[in-house]
Amino acid sequence: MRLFRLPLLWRVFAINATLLVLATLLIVLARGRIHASFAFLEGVDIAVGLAVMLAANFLLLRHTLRPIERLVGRMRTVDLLRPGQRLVEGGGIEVTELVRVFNEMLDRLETERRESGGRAQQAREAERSRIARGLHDEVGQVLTGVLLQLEGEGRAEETKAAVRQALEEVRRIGQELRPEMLEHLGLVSALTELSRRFADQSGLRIERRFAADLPPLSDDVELTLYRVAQESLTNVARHARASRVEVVLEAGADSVVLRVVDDGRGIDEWAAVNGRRGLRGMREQALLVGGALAVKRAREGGVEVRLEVPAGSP
Amino acid sequence: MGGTIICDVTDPPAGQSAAEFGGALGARLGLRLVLVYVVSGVPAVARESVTGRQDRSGAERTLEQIARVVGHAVETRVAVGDHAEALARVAAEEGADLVVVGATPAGMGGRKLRWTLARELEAATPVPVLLAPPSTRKRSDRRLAAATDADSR
Repeated sequence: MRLFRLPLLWRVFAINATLLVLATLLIVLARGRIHASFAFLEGVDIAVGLAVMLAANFLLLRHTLRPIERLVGRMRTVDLLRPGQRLVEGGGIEVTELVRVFNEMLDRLETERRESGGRAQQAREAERSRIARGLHDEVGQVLTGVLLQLEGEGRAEETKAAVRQALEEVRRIGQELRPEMLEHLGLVSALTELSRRFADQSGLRIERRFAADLPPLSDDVELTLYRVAQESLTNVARHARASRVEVVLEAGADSVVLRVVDDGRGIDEWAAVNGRRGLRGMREQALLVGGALAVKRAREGGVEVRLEVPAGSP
Repeated sequence: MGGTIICDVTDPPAGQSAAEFGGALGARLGLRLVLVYVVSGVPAVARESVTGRQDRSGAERTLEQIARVVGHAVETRVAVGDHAEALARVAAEEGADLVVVGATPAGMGGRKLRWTLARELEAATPVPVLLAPPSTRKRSDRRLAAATDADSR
């Protein structure tokens, strides 16, 4: 049945209109039985009356049912990574109640998402720290011991080189897992070290511009800035085909802004919005600290990742 | 002072008014201005189609023209999707403090304003929405001049 595929507004209106037209026809037929002649003006009166009733019926239905269509639309598009999307309460009592309950449900979902995301982030960082400590304290120590033994026994240079390389690799993985410099020397030093290492490994030219008068930031926010910079640089190395990257840290309005801009092949809007795990992960991290993350085409054609996070005492 | 204003410039006459208004306000208050053009009705599967690319390059040209008119350092973005949803998404991503949209004159003698987009944005974003008056309306020359002076300094 085609009728059932129509939107609710048109379905209800079609049924009402059919009933009104049938009722009008009955009136006309009954009148025709009583009086043999049926005046033209009477017909016009009835037609106008029918048209007015249909129009009034349609307007009333639209006023009542439009909020339901909006509610369905919002349900389809709502994205918990972009909090604050709500519906304006309106329509009849039942519809208003439905919208109010839906808005309350979104409140609860957003709170739950924020809290569970925060817990997951903490657990992830704790796990990274544990693995980094394990690599440094156990695997690193063992490899250092092996290297010392090899030095003493005068073994082949290739074996020593392989062990040194393994040791270096363990240190690198440890640094990526737990940015010690962030803990000990702060964000600017950590980002400087990160970008220096990135330039060494990728061979890309990197330009740093870090403002000297940044407002104080909480530990979580600093870690988020570091992780987003790390992920952005990794994406540049993997996908951008760039020759130059700019890393900027500047003060905003009660906030700090990180920008990572490359001169590579760019990104289309669809990919920037529906990006894979890396981009979603960055968005989630930004959301957890109340920040805003934009991934967009840079003015010169590459990609710009812009993260703005709120400033606040640690 | 700092912060970000998002200006919708998708619909040419209303968008032009919004950009001028947002530009003046941004210059006066020292806010970052991001002009946004929304390309609607391009499904994800057709994003790399000839039409999709033409829409995009047309949007970029319009943005460049309006950015030149606004006259000071502005950022531009092309967004794809439903008009209100795309604007709300950009506002969230840019950490916007205000979204400026244009209004079209309506009714007898253009005394009323059509502002459907602003109403849709009300549901799509928690960011406040400001309705820029159409260019046919008389604005305070003194305030716009003050903004221009502040910008040139």
